[in-house]
Amino acid sequence: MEYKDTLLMPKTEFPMRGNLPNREPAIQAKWAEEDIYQKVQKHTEGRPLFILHDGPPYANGDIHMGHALNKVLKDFIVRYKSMSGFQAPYVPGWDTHGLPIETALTKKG
Amino acid sequence: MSIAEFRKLCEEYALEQVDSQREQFKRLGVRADWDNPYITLKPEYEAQQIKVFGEMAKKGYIYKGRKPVYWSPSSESALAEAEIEYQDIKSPSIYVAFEVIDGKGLIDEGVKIVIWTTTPWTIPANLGISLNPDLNYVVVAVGEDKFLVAEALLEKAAEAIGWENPEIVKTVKGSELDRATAKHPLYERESLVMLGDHVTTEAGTGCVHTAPGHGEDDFIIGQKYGLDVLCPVDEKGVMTEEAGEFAGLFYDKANKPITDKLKEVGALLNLSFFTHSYPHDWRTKKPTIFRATAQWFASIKDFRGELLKAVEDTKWVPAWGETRLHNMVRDRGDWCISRQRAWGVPIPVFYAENGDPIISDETIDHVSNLFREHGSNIWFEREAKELLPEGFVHENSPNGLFTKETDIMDVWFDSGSSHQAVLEERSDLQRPADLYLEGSDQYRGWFNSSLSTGVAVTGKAPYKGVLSHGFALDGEGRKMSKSIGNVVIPAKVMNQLGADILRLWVASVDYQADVRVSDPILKQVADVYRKIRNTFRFLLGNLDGFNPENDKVSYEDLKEVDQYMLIKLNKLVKQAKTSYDNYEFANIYQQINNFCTLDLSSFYLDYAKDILYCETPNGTERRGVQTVLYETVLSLTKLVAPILPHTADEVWEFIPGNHEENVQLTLMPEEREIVNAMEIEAKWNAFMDLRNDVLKALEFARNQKIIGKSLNAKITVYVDAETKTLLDSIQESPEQLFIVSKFEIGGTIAEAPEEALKLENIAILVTKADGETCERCWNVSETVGKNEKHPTLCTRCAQVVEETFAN
Ligand SMILES: [Zn+2]
Repeated sequence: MEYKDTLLMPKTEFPMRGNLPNREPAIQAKWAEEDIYQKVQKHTEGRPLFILHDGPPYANGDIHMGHALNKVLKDFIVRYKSMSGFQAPYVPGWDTHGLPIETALTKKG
Repeated sequence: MSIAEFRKLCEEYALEQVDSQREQFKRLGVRADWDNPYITLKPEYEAQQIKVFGEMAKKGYIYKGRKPVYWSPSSESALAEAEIEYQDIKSPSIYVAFEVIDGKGLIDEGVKIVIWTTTPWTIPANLGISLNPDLNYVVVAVGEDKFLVAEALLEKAAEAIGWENPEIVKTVKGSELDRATAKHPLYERESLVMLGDHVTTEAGTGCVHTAPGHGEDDFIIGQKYGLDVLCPVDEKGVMTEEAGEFAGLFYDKANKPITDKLKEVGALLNLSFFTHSYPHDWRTKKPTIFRATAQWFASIKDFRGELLKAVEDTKWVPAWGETRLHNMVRDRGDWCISRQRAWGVPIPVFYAENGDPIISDETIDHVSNLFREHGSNIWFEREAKELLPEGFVHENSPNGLFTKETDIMDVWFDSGSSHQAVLEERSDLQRPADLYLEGSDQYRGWFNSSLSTGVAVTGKAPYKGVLSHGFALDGEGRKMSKSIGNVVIPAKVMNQLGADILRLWVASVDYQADVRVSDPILKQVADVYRKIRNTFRFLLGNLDGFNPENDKVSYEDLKEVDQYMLIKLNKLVKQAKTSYDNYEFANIYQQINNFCTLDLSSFYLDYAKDILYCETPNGTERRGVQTVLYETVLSLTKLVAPILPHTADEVWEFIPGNHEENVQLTLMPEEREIVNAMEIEAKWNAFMDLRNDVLKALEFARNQKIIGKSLNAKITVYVDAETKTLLDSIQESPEQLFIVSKFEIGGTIAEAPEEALKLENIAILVTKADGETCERCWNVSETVGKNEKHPTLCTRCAQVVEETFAN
């Protein structure tokens, strides 16, 4: 008998390496597929509301770390509240009028 | 291209940008109603914004005035105070003489009133000179000339202009010179002497150059004295025909020729240059000027008291936010809400034939409905008449003719209306919001504009709480900039490390102040992530074959050390939830990190390995440990889910047993009431201290080459009575707790041999354990060889193998 076969060593398919850059998009695709936002809203229906109202970022250019910081902090709070007895709908917004867009367009010609 | 066509292109462009940003935000793992966001250019949004404007107009808060406003020649538009930032620039500083025409019998004709200004280009717009009625003014003789300045500023003026020994020939009160006149040095016209309290002795001469078209105080005093609002500068910042020979020059370029001309006519007394803080357009970064234009205003003064009350009723985090907004509201002037641009929501005002503006419930409702149906572009596609209700009549338009306003609204009015256009408009939301959360630049931006429109429309703030965060700086605390090359780009972080790493970074920083981010900082965070992930992997790996429905051991039946871990876990749950409630994410980061490394990795999991790997698979001892691991992985996954949603979802699928399909649908773990928790915690905290002493002794022995691995060691401790009582009360195997092969209490501290390591309350002797190494569990035991069937195993292993794996 091989004694090492009688040891109950840890066994799991959960990967050691996160490989997040590849795995995350797959997880996000699953979220989109199951419409996780609506699923959570439905699941938490009837609870007291917690409204975090999104301040609209200006719709011009790629997002920078300031945007990321802002949106992620909001997501922490909304996700926590929806796991803490609240329904926490989160409607993102965009600010779309104003000079920078006129300027961008004028530059584009 | 027509305005309407141009606006269509703007809309197209904006929506492309929305799509692009939406994908980037989604990649961060942010859970939101991405399919149905709010966008300020959407018809339903614009319709509500019109209502906000209408409501404010109805309350009398909206008015049209010609007034000098911050004007940005570079963007050809009026700016709100919120769009101004201050930067240092170099400006000329000139002293100019205005010869008295009518001195009210007190001052002779030809006496020169001395003014000081840093904007020579406003001299063509000069219509008056303001004095303080309560100050004394002196006429001084300098050579052939006589000058008038405030007594208190004589010394400074003399020094600046270079007067030697000015002789005071007369003193008069400012109030005595009311409505005296002087000759404009460049034009055939008079400048009126006026009296105002805004004149101080802080700088200059006490005789203030007054151009009602180019300054707020100038405008106010000019109104009082009935002066025109002369403004010989056009929207591009170019001098107009009204400026005479300077027409066609950009205002800033006009400084020199104007100064030269003043010199030529003998009116320039001194010219120098100095650097000072000057208002700039925060978008173009170019200097702004004060310029009189027709504008629409929201009067803040009419409801300032209500605004201040609303600030007081709001919960501000950090607390200094309250002072910041209070001062902003206290000090701000009326809000200029009009812009002379194309891409925005039109100001929904019609004009009658006599030029009177028309704003009524009827027109507002009609325009709002039109916008809801067609979008605001209709304003630019149709004539005024087609934008009015059918058959609309007005007493001031006897011929039924109307025109429309062409200015659009300040974008702060757009976003500032979101409480109406989103919170009120949508059935899934409500006003006031529980929380607004933005960068600290929004105290003067969105927090401010939302408060103004919110209080104007509802009498209350649109939010119950406001939370702000700082800016993202580089690793050294510098602003990120392309030229320094220190810009951290979120997309790159996500491609290289992943969104959960970026999110863990967000959790790790003190976000209420400015935060730092760089590749090395992110790498550190990634290391912490790896530790957390490894913890999850260990927990999951050792739950193989564990079925919570059947295998869970009840709390009462657990060993004390297992209970101790559940108490620790319970504490973590309590602390982390409190931290979440207080938005203190850096605390959660610390708490979870400490729990994984100190409580689990360095102690409990280390202790549990022998039990998990070697003990009877279905025995209470092993199932007890697994129960702890199971509770831990459940709670820990939920606690990290808001911060690491991808990882939490992934872990969740590997947790055995029947549970909610997605961790996002669960509730945070409940704190449990555990009897004897305090007692057990105190006891085991004391044990942990003891364990640290033993680890020290083992480390020492390893360095001395007495032992190799700690499993080769035998520990003999010499202890005081209290420690003996503690050790005697522990039911768990001390060998497993200390991860050694043999443990004994040798006696009192006094009885310890020479070679024992003597610490405060204990002496510890480390020797090689007697016996052979068990082939299966690697413990050294004298029982190895006792079992004939399994001569290489210790008794414990022989028994487990016999019972469980015999066939
Ligand atoms: Zn063994």
